[in-house]
Order: sequence, then structure tokens, then C-alpha cells
Amino acid sequence: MVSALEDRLRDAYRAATQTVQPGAVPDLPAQLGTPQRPPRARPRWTRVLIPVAAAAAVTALGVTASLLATGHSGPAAGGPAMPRFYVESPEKGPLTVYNTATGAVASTIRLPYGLTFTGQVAATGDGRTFVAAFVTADIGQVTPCVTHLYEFRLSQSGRPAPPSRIVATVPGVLLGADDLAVSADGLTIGYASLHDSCYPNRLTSAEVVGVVNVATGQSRSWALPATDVIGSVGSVALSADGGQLAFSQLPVSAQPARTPPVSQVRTLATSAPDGPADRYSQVVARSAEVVALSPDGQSAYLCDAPSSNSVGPAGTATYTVQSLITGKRRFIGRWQDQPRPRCQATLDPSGRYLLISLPDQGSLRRGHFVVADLRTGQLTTLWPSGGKSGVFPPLAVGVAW
Amino acid sequence: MHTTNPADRPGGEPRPRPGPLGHGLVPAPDRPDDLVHQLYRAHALTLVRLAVLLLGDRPSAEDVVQDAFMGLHRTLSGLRDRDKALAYLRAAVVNGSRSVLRARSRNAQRRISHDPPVWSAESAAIASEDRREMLAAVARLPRRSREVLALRYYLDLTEGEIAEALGVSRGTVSSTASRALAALARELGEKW
Repeated sequence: MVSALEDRLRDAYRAATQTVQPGAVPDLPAQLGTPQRPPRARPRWTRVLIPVAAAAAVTALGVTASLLATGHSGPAAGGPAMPRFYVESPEKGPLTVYNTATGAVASTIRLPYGLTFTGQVAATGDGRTFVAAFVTADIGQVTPCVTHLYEFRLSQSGRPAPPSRIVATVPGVLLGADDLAVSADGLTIGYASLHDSCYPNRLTSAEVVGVVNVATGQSRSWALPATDVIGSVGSVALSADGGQLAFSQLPVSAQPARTPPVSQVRTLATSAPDGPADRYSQVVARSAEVVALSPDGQSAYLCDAPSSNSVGPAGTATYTVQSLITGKRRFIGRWQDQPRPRCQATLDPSGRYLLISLPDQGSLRRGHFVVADLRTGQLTTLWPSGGKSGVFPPLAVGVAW
Repeated sequence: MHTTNPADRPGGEPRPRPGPLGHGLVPAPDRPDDLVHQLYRAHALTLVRLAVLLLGDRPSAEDVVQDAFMGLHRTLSGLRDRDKALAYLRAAVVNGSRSVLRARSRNAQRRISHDPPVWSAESAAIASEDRREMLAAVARLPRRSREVLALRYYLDLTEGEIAEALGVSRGTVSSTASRALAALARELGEKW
């Protein structure tokens, strides 16, 4: 007789094992190598020397590993480690995988001829599987009708398995680097897109936010109020379970002439029916953009950069975290005299580390990264001396880790 | 990449059963490479899922399973009965998982962290608190108890198959399972 406890155990096992989806397991190498011969009996003298040599080698490896470990900017004490890699997706050109500890390029991912990455990339909950957006360059179309999605998984060394094209697509075109988000299990894609962008005569500012389930193809979308401003919505974020979507939106009253434009942050439950975004969402923060939601969906990571979205003078970028339950905000960091302040940051799957992109002083195109440890409050500049300096172009360069 | 998963069908996950070799439905190829790839296609997902139950995180689980298959490839010529390949793989995954857990124990002393288990709140991979509570309770059981429960309640192996995978007697399997369920019932305040 099967007890309730055994039923509950099976159910829990089923939930845990289904975090590994079919098709997500990387392939074996095509060439497995020559099977080893059975071991032969070794001469007596090697039975003494080999253990001695092995012990020396292990000692040397241990010392090397310790040195490497101290060079890695991991957590101060316990807790999840920083992601080993982050991925940049420029508006054109290949995706690039960087080693977080060293800034070195671990690998690049190129699309076949005729396909173009559009600058958005998002990480799933395992921190090694990523989704990136791309379009096909169809002749006779000013902009694509749909945006396609690739999923790829990095190995321990940062090399990607061959990307898999996701069957489900996103309607319209994604404009900003932060217009794509993915749930922890990789099944729900959140987006902000310019919807009716297939034909030149329909190039309007009909923008939507939406979600699509990549397993079933089911989708929901919510229309933003029509404005004359293209790109009035952006920087979408999803909770880990995909149940909550947050997005930044310029209010209808914000006209292009008004500088600086002030966006507000709204959240909506992705179970809401299709319809106007205003009806199903609520404003949770004003004068801010959302850069991430905590995995449990109960906090929003916000950025306020007054000159964001415009070629403005030097300004300040301020990052905070706001509880969506109590409304309380906590300060994360502020960077003054930014040559071109804008909001761009990505939260790691553990919800502990926020990777913030900042421009270099005196440069409009060069930038660097700061990691905010959200548990300790510590801010760490990646590769402060001699490492790679991240590109900080004015247009879309998606970053995920 | 994401396709409709038969395991998502109502009624729960189908039993992971032996594939090409277990029931002899597909003739075994002669080349070791082909055989290993065939076994990988048929069983890698189930074995990765088993390793996730033993280790908690997918990256480590995938590494263990890849190592198991590479080990199978190396020893295939010495395997007298190729029908035993799946049993070999199960045992290799269990042993590989033990090695990872030992390494983690050493790393913990050096404050080197690893990915949080899928049932942790940090991971947020499992939404239901009830399931997370159950999996966390299982994670606190002794290592052999966790192995027996995973082989029995995920893979649905017989006591004989579990004994073979763990290298213990059937009696040990039976008593370990019984003690493990009793411990879970105590911890979760349930009847068993």
C-alpha cells in the first residue's frame, strides 16, 4: 500500500527532476576517443615513484587552485558564487561570452548568414542557459514582422553547445537591450516589442508587453497606450516563475520635447487576459526604470538616471531595490558625473549579484562593470586594473549572467 | 529546444525504463562509440535527473553523467555482458555523485561555494513550498538513505536493482528505505 508520504515524495521528486527539461542535456562529444587498454602490471619501482609523484602533483595543483580561488571575486563568506560567465549581445555581430573573474573572452556565438542578433540576451535560472533574440533580414521589409529566439547552454569552460532555435516567436521587433526576459525554467519569455512593424505603412508606435510560453506557444500581450514616441516602453523583467512581469513606461503625457523624460515602473500578473496594459498593471514606482525583479517577484531593482534615453549632459545614476509588498526602498549605489547616464543592469539567477554597466569617465563609448553584492552591500569593480573594459555604446548591448 | 515533455502529461511522469539494451528492443550496435551514444540518447536525461536528486544542481549532475558515459566508453571492451551497461551507468552516477559530495565537503572548508540545490529558496526553481520542504527534508537524510529513496521513488527500481547499483544487499536496501521513510515522516509530522 502506498502511503501519502510516498505520494508526496514522488511528487517532490517529479518537480525537482523536471527542472531538467528534455533537450537541455548537452550532447556527448561526437568522438569519444580510443578506449583505454586494460591496465598492465607496473614494474615494482613505479609503484613507489608514482604515488610520490602523484602526491607532489596534487600538492602543486592545490596551491595553484588556492591562488586562482583568491583571484576570483567570489562572495565574502558562503552563499552562492558569482556567475562564472556573462554574455554580451551587441545589436550586430556575434554574442560574446566573458569570464567574470578575468574579463577574458571565453567564446563567441555567431549566427548563420542572413540572421542577425538584435542585442537582447537573458539568462535562465541555471545561469548557464541563455536566450537571445535575432531577426531574419527579409527583403522588402523595413523591419521584421517577428523576432526569433535562440537558446544556448554554456559548458563549464564557457563554450556554448550548438544553439537551438526556439519554435515560439515574439511578435514585432525588440528595440532596447532590456526588452527581453526569461523565467528561471526557460519556459516563459517576457518582452516589450513594437508590434505592428511589419510594413512601412504600419510603422506606428503600437507597443506591447507580453509573454510567450516556449513549450506550448501560448502567448499573452498587453497593449500600451498609443503615443507618438517609439520606444516608450522597455526594460522588462520577469519573476523566476514567470508569474509577474515588470516594465518601464513613459507616461502618455510625456512628450518628446519634455526633457528629461520620466518613466514609471508597472507590474502585472502574467495570468491576466489580453488587453490594455493600463487596465491590468499597476504603477509601483515613479521616476525610475526597472532593471530586474527578485526571483520571488517581491522586489524590484530600480534605476534612476535622469538623462537616460536622451543624449544629455553628465548626470547621476542611482540604483535602489524596492519591496513590492511594503513599498520601502533600499539604496544600492549611486554614480555621479556619468558622461551619459543610463540604466543597465542584470541580476544573477541566485538574486544576490547585480551586474551594473557604467560608462567610463570621459568616454561615451567605453564602459566597465560594477558588481553589487545585494547581501553585503559591497560594490566591486570588475577587473579594476588591466582587464577588459566593456563597451558602452549608445544603442542596444544586452548583458546577462 | 523545449518540446512537449511526456513527463508533463497529466498523471505524472512515465516510469524511466531501460531502453535500447535493457529489453533488447533495439539491436546493440557493434562500435563502442555508437553504443555509448545510443545509450546516452536513451538514458542521459533520466540519469541527469537522478543526479540532480542526489546533488541538487544541474551543472554538477550533467558533469557526473558525462563522466559516467565516458567511463562506460573506456570500460566497454571489458564489460562481459553489455546488457549490464545501464546498471553500470546507474552505479557510476551514484558513485560519481558521492565523489562530488566529498569534494563539496572539502570545498566548504575552503569557502568555495557551489550552485544552490534546486529545492532551495535561493534557486527558486521549484515554486511549491510543500515540495521544497519535502526535498529539503530528504537532503538532510544520510547519504545512503537519499540514494535508496531516489532509486526507488524516482527510477522505480526493484530492491535487487537498487542493491546492485549501490553494492549492498537487498536486506540493507529494504531496511534503509524503511528507516528513511520513518525519518521523513517524523520530520514532516506525517503518518507513514
